[in-house]
Amino acid sequence: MSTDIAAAGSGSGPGPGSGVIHDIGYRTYSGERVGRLGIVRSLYWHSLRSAWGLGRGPKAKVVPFLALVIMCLPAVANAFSVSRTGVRAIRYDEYMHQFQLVLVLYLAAVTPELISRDIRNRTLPLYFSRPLRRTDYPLAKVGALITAMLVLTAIPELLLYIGTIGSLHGGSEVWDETRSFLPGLELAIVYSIVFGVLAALLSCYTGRRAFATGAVAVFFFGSWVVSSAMVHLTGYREHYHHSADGSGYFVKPDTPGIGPKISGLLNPANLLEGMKEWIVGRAPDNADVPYPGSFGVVYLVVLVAVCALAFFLLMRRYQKASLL
Amino acid sequence: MTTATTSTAGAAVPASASAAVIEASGLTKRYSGATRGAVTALDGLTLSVPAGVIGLVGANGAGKSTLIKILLGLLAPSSGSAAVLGYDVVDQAERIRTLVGYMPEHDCLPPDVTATEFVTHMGRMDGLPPTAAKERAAESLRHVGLHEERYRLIGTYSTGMKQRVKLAQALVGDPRLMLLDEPTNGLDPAGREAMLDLIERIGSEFGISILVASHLLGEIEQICDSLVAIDSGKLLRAASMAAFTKASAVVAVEVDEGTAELGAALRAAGLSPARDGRALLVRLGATDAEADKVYDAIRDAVADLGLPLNRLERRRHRVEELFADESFELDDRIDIGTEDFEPRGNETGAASTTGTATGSETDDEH
Repeated sequence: MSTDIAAAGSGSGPGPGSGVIHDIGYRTYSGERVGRLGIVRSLYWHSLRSAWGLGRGPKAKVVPFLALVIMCLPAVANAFSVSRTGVRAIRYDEYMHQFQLVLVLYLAAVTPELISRDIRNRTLPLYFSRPLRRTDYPLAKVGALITAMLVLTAIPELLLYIGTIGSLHGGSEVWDETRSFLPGLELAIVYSIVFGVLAALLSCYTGRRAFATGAVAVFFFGSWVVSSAMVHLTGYREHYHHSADGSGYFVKPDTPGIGPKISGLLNPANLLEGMKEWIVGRAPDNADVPYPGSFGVVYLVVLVAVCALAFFLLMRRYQKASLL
Repeated sequence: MTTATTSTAGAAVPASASAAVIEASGLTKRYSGATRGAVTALDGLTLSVPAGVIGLVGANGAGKSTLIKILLGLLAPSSGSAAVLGYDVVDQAERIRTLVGYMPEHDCLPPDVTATEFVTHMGRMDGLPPTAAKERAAESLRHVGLHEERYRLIGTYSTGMKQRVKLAQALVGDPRLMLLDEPTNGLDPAGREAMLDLIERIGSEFGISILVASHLLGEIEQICDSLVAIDSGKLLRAASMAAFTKASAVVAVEVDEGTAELGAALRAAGLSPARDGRALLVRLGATDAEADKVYDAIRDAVADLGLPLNRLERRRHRVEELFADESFELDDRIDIGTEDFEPRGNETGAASTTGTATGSETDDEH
């Protein structure tokens, strides 16, 4: 009775205790064991799969793949538009900022599953009673989340690139296209890291799925509304606008003061947008965030500081004995 | 770092099976809570327990869970030291955790996966490669008695089945030692019985040492090889079960009439009989020679008085009475640290009757 399944095992051989005379069914495991890093890798991979609903029910796949389809639509539309008319539908470096709400939607659905679930079910003690260290668990989780985000951000950029070069002629055109594609890809990576770390932090304080979803959605969307509103309230105009004196004339936007630049710091997407403009050295004509000029270094510092703080808080959260 | 550790569990096990699996020396844990004030969860615990099934008894809040978490290296002791399977809990916690399976007291299972998926995943977290994790998950679940049910979502399980899954996930990594925190929690009497049988089987047949924490001594004493009793973080006693039962063996003498005369005669013979319903309980000595003398004295007394002897029966006295007081007071039965004392139906012991015993004259040989 007891050896039917065990006998098929390749890794588990008969242990020293269960011999010929007294085979009682239990087999010790003397096969290979992966070390701590192997376990972290395994947890990372397991989490990455769950972030895309793989290995879970059909319902878990709806939001991730819906988000991916929405993200890819502009790239697909671009392929058609470039091949028919030669007009680009969207720029590489605007893609993430314009479709950040899809990223937020994805994170709001997936982070609770990845992070809050084990807190709610109190499964964490089972992980921590295994060879994993306290920091290994959040590292694997946030790594998986960032990678999952990378799928969502890099695939559309890649589709955009492929769809465009399909209609190009000549190596130099393809080379120019590649040179504008690579910053887009870099942005996809940065967006994945920043959004991933922040969403993981927002989810790790609650076991309630709805709270985590709400926290992620409210933080990213709310701060974006506040930041963008502040940018305008403090005087920034990205387009020609009516002159304030009632004369009916359209006037060119002013050079923005410090107000709009500070307001741009208040939201991760705007922060990234401002930093990108600073690194590129100019802002697009209709940019949501004003070109920061020399203030751009503040954008970079704030971005690095926020990410480092979020990462630190995330790691510290899993040191807490109350999670046991 | 342990990046490429492809060691086997067996190689890391100390060679001698009789070596202490758990050792502690002056182990102390204090929580310095800002709101609730400082709490001493463990207070100078010193013990050494050999392999086998180890009972850890104490009231709720006595420090059982704290001790287990320290043994797993999840909590750092405030002072003192402890070792599990020969490894220090502070310096070699990772090593310990590769060799130990832990079953928490509380619910810890995700409802939305099947038992197979969950235990397989936990096997991976023990460092098993994918195929081995699958096989061992299937085996573990079969060992704990989950067969076709293991393909159902855990959320649909009864409490008893969930407890089995918790046990299976602790077993999947082929541990040398299992730490089970209140494994019978929330189970009905039949479920408790089944769980205890399972634990006993794992301990005796699988050759895995097990520490079973429980607040019900009566429940776990029958499956334990040794026993550790703690109260308010302090060690009450740690000893092998044999030492407990030997010191506590009694013989029950029941005569149809003349119980009082027999009692007087036995007292005259230097024994200290205690009345237990219709029977007299006489304590047997710690050694066989002493026990023989007691039997002889009883035989002589009954014969001299010409009483109709109805029953002469050796009883294994229940250990829990020992914790009440070292002086073996029968009428002061203590159910160590719990209000819900539950007599076990299939036990031959005197649990349900000793409560009525009068007298505490039995001499103290400790």
